[in-house]
Amino acid sequence: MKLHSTCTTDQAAPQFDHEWQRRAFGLALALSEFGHYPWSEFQQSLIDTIGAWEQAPGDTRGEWEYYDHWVAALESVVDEHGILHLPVAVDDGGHAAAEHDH
Amino acid sequence: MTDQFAYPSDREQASADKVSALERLLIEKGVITSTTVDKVLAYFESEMTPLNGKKIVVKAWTDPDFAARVVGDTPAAIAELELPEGMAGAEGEHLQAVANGPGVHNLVICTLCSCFPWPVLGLPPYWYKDPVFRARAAREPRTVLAEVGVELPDDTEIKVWDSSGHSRWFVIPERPSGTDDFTDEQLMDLVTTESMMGVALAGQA
Repeated sequence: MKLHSTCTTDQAAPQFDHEWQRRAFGLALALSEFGHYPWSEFQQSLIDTIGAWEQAPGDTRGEWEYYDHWVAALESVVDEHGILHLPVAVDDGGHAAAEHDH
Repeated sequence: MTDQFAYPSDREQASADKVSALERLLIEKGVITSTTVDKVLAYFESEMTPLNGKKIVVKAWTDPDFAARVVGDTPAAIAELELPEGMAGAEGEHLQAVANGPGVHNLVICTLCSCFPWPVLGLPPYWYKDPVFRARAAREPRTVLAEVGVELPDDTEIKVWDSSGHSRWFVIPERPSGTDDFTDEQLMDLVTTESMMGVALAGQA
């Protein structure tokens, strides 16, 4: 099996194939930057979801799509940290992103 | 894109919907604002690029003492250079440089999780994250390198570095011969992202 055809130059290597992948990337980075979880935790979540895919039988796991795993890992850390259940419009301990935008 | 990387469009739509729903919810909850993701992406895409890696490599090519330091203590050596803030942020911790030299070629892969030294190399190319590439590069690096145009002498040792949460490797490629009178800018043009991953040589068209 040959490598992907983009494996030749900087210019030919796409960073994201779709805008949703770019936004999923930005969301994971933003939530970590603003202290909702340490980056290492997201990384571990990604390792776990990719590991589960690699262990699954080939005919049941579906085709490889890196950013599907990325999204699953993101949903998992958001859930574990209860980020969607933070108190709204009260003192949030400085977690609101707007206070930290740079 | 070749067919081997194609996947059903409805699956893609489902992922896209999940991401936009999540971002919308986070905005509604006041966790982030409607501009947060764009700001983070803009900073990342303008500052965390291969330009940082190119500067590090050219410094190593032109300053033998720095070349030794950057391999010995990569974060400390990088801190000497005037690079953008955030070099120690997400994925930037634990940066570790390895230097190619006569008889030694380094190849960086991640067999598990596509760890990548973003702050110096930007985002990895798509194919780098493919499990087939990762597995084959670990198993038969000389063959894989030859396929991508890096033909190494039989007696050149190939060291494969597996990036992880603890070490994010990048390669200081060898300075091409005949470049003694090049300016720093001309030298930077020779350094590609691929050469800093070890899947190409510096100055290789």
